[in-house]
This record gives sequence, structure tokens and C-alpha cells, in this order.
Amino acid sequence: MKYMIDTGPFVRRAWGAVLALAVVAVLAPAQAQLRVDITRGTVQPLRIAIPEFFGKTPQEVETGRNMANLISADLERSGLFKPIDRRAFIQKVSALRVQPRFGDWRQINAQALVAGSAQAQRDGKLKVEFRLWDVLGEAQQTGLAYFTAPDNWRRVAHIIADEIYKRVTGESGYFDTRVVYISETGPSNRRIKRLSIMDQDGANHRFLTDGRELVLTPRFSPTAQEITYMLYRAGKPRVYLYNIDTGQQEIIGDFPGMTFAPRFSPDGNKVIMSMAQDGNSEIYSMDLRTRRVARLTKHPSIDTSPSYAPDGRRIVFNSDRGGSQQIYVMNGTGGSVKRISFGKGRYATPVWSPRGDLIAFTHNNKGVFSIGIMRPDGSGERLLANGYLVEGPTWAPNGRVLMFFRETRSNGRNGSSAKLYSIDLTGHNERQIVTPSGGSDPAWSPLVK
Amino acid sequence: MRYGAAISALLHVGILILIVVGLPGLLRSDRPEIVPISVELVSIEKLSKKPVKKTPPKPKAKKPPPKKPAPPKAAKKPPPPPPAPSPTPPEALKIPEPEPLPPEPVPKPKPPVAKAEPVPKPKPKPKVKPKPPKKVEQKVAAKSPPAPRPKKKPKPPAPKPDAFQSLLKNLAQDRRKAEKAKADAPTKVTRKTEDKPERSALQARMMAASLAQAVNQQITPCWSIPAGVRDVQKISVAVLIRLNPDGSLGAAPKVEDSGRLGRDPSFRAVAESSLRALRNPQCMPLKLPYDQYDLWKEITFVFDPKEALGQ
Repeated sequence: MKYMIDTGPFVRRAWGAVLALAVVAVLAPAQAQLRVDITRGTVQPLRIAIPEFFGKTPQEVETGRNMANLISADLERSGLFKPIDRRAFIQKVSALRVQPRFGDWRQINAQALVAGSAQAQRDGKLKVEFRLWDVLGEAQQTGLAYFTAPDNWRRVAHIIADEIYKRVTGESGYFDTRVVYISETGPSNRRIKRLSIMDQDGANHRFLTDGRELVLTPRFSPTAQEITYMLYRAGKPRVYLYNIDTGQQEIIGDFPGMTFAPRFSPDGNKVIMSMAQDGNSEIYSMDLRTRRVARLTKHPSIDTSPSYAPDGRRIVFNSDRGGSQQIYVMNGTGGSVKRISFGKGRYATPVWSPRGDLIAFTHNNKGVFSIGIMRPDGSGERLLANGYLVEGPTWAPNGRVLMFFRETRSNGRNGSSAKLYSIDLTGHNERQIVTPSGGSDPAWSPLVK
Repeated sequence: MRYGAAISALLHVGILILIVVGLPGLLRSDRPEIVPISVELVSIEKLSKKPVKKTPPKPKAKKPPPKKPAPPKAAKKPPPPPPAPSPTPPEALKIPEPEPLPPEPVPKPKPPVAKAEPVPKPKPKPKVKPKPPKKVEQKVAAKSPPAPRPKKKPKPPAPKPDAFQSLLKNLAQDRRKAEKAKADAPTKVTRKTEDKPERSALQARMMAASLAQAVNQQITPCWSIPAGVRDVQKISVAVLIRLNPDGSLGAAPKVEDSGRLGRDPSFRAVAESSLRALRNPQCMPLKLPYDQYDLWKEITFVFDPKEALGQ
């Protein structure tokens, strides 16, 4: 027996040796090929060369220059691209039109190249063509042509910027989008707030309301033609619907109490909101087609700020039912309420990302406000931006960038200090969105269709 | 039973032999692995610096840029042949049509998007002459390297002796020795190449480990990780490359699982970032010891952004 016991380990070792030999034998041929794991790198924007689009007539040349400038600005703001100074370019636009000399572009460390042209057609339309070249791989990555009215060049340039962004990052872009927000002018005690709309880059700005009535929390419909918001009329706050094309305004539902914090469902058919009555507020949804109202929460605490998941199956909202204001998730039809935020301080205005993977929120701890994100199960919480007052996060349609507003401590009379900002998910690349006056409560449209 | 006992006895004897022969080898291999690796690293770094100007690591990063111009030039050299094609572009215009066809299918799916938006009609007018030129250039590139190979092969070994001697002794003494060294160099080369088969598996493994580290250090600065890609933690990309003896790419890098490129935009974004790193003239002709070319002529890279992005 002793003998047997002693041999056990020997046998195992021997087998180990046999196996090891076998493994070596198997690996031997594989050694001819070296394997290198690259697990680190840099996070640097892609160096992209965007020469002016080629044109023959002075008009075409100018349009071509404007379009290239706008595309550069869009891509640069994303933080993922670094347009190269055109003065460094070696190959001329006219020659580029025939064929890129990739050596010329490698020499200035360009990794991508956009070559385009703008040409007036006989029928008065503008034909815009572009190609995206992989300079190092010497291959065309994408190439498209558009026919449009000449004064629509901005739109086409945004669309081209979206195509480039999409091709390089694998995510859809967000440049061909608009933003509604509350424009603020005048001193803080007599602040005039107007519903305003502009392109994502601040162009084509216009006011939708005249400022005589107080407007708050505008939200885009997924169809982009409608906005829902809260408006004080005759001292009563109510949720309204506004058609951007027709300018028509209508009240949503006939509720006994005040309604606020509205948002569309992902399919655009419902509006979800809060209604307050007798010091308690609950969450309701209303079907815009049938006008049927459904109550989704029933709790003596304050439940508000609901936002649908992109699949419509869940709703995130905030509630103080646990003592302090925290974030909860429930089913799309109400029920199965689950708390997901457990940090210190108060959590408010949760917004589900259009990508579905994250929830943005406002956080307030001892007077410090932050914009943060967490996964729908409450994990991975990160704070991206903070300030004296930061609020109202809204997602770009690709779920990579957030817009919000920040108010700095104002010293009395001199008006609004609220401004709009964007920041990406990395928490870097914070940019101010330039507006004619102060701005708050931004809402990002989906990609324009 | 007796047979069984006999068989088991035989097996035991066989196993014992294996133990005697195999185990010590295993045990030994464990120890030496650690120590020699560092030695190899040092030697390889020295070897890899053909132009032994500065030793500090940082300069390496800086040096490459100045050297880069060289590779581009090399790239430009092939173009000279293109100059001939340059007059041909008009011809290319006609010929390209058949080839451009492939690019068309790509634009086609996008057109709907474009149409949906404003009044854009996506015209896949691929005058895409790129392909023909690519092929030409690639071929040229592939052909041209061979020329440098023979030249470079003899050179690298020669500098090594020079470098060592200049470090260890006074330059004044050694014109003769240097000459001798040069004379000897070729023979050394041939010996080394002949030595390849003599490497033990362990040696090869250690060399491979230090080579992998050297390659990693050279490529890492050129990999710009696409931070915003969705589900990036689920993506890693394997790329196979073949290298010329001068460390330049011998053929277009191949992405494993290339079918995924077409259906997974996130995978494609990471894959393309990897390819950009491997083609970046700031990192690309890899500087590796020529005498181990057989070990690094083919390299499989695995680009994995998880760790870097903390996910």
C-alpha cells in the first residue's frame, strides 16, 4: 500500500511531464509566429485633413470652403478628430480631385483625408460629392454624392460630417440635429424665458415663443416635429405640445392638478409626466392618439422626472420614498419598482440614453451639483461635470454626448448666467454651446429625418 | 492479472525514465526563464538599434520621426513608377469602371439615409481609380523591399562589432580590427543564420518573449484607442502581419474574423484603429534584430482596448 501511495504523485508528475512534452510539441510550430498583445495605447483624436471642397466658379469655391469649414468644426467639436491646418497641405485641391497623392498626406501625419467638390447643376441644384480616404491604408472608406438646393449647403455639410463620424467611429453621428432650449434674457427678478430652437452648432437660431409666458423643460418628440414642455398660463403650470412646422400649441390632457416634467415615449405615441395634487405627485402616461391616461405610480412620496428606456419596457424616475431623493426603475406599465442609486446626496432628473446602456442624472451633494451617468442597474456611476448649479442633462441621439446647462453664481441684477454646455462620456471635451443670450433646459433632437 | 502487473511495471519503468529525463528539464526551464529574459532584452535592444546613436529610451520616440521621412521616401520611391501611370489616369478613367463597381455596393446602402434626409441623391460615381494605383503601389512596394534586404543584411552585423569596439576601446587602435571585423561580419551572419535550428525551444521562447515586448513598445505609442465605441470591452482584434527583413510591412495586414468587419461597425472601428497603428510611419518599420528574423517575420497582434479603457 505504501508503495502504491508513493507512486501516486510520481505517476501524476510523469503524466505531467508527458503532457508538458506534448504541449511543447504542439507549441513548437506555433513559435514560428510571434504573438504580441497590445493592451495600451493613446487616446488621441484622429488627424484628418479636410481641404476646401473643389469648385470652379467663385460661388462654388465659396460654398466649397464653407462646407469644408463646417465639417471641420463639427468633427473637431466631437473631440474625436483633429482637423489639420490647411496651410500644411502639400497637394492642391485641383490635383486631389483626380487622385490623392497619399505620400503628401502621410508627410503631414494625416490619417484620414476628405476630398469633396461642390458644383452647380444646370437645373439650379447643387451637387456635392465627397470621399473619405484612409491615408495609411490608401483606400477609399466611403464616398457619396448629394443634390440639394444651394442654400441648403449647411444641412448637407452636417450630413457629410455625420457620415465621416459614423464611418470612423462605428457610431451614428449627431451633427444633423437641432436643440431646443430656454433662452433667458433680462435681470434675474424679471427674467424673460423664451422657447428657442437652433441647429446643434448654434446656427439657424429662432424663438418659438414670445416670452410673455413662462416656459420650462422642453423635450423633443422622436419624430422631431413636436416639442412637449411645461408652460405657465394664467398662473397654472401645464404640459403642452407644440408643432414646430405649424406653430400650433395644445394642452395635453385635462388634469385636475398641475402637470410637469413631460417626456415622449420612444415611439412618440405617448407622453409621460408627473401630476401633483394635494402635496403628492405621481407619474402618469397619456396616449396621444386615444388620449387615454394611465397612472403608473401610487405612493405617498413624490415621484417625478420619468424617462422611458429606448425599448419602452422600463421607466426611470426619481422618488423620495426611501427618505432622500434617489433614482428608481420600474416597468413600462408601472410596478416592479427598484431603487438603483445609493450614493450620498440627492439624485434627480434621470434620463435614459438613446443607446440604452446608461442613465444620466443630476446629483447634488452638500451644495455641489454634478452631471453623472450610471448603468441601468445602478453600477458604474461616474460624475462628468460639476458646478455651482448644473442641471438638465439631455442625450445626443448617438448616446455618446450630453448637453446640460450650468449656472454660475450671479451677483444680483446682471441677468442670466446660465449657459449651455456639451460633454462626452469620457468626461473630457467639455464645450460651451454658444447662444445669443443665456440658455437653460436644453433638449437634443433625434437625427433629423 | 500477472500480465496486468507486468504491464504496469513496464509502464512504471517507462514513466520513471520520463521522469528522469523530462522532469529535470521542466524544473530547469522554470528557473532560467526569468533570469535570461532580462539579459535577452538588453541585448536585443542593442541589436535592434542599428543606428546606435543614442541609447536612452525617450530618444527612441523622438528619433523615429526623423527616420520616418526615410520610410516615406521609400514609399515615394515606388511612386516614381507611378509617374508613368500618372499620364495614364485618363486611361485609368475608362478601365477603373469595372473595378469601381465594388465600391458602389458600399455607397448604395447609405443612399437611403441620404435620400431620407434632404434632397441628396447619393451618386456612387466611383471614378475610383484608387484601386488600380493601390495595386500598383503595393506591388511596387512588395518588389522594392527585396532590394534593400540584401543590402541591409550585411550592414547590420557589421555595425555591431564596430559599436562594441568603439564602446570598449579607443577608436584609434582599431582601423585594422574594424576592417577585420567587417571581413568577419559576413561569416558571423552566415553562422547565425545557420544557428537558427540550434536554438533550444527554451531559447526561442525567451527570444520570442523579449521580441514581443520590443514590438509592443514600438507599436503602443501609435495605437490611438477608439474610446467612444459601443461595447468596446467586448472587442479585441487579431491582426496578422508579415514583415520584410528591414521591419517594414511585407503585405497588407490581415484582420482575423474579417467577416465581422462588415456587420459590426464597432469591431471595424477598433480593427481600423489597429491597422492605422501598424501602418503609421511614426512606428512602422519595426526595429528588430535581423538575426532573429525567422522569429518575427510573421507576427500576430491582438489589440485589446479593455485594460486601457478601464473596463
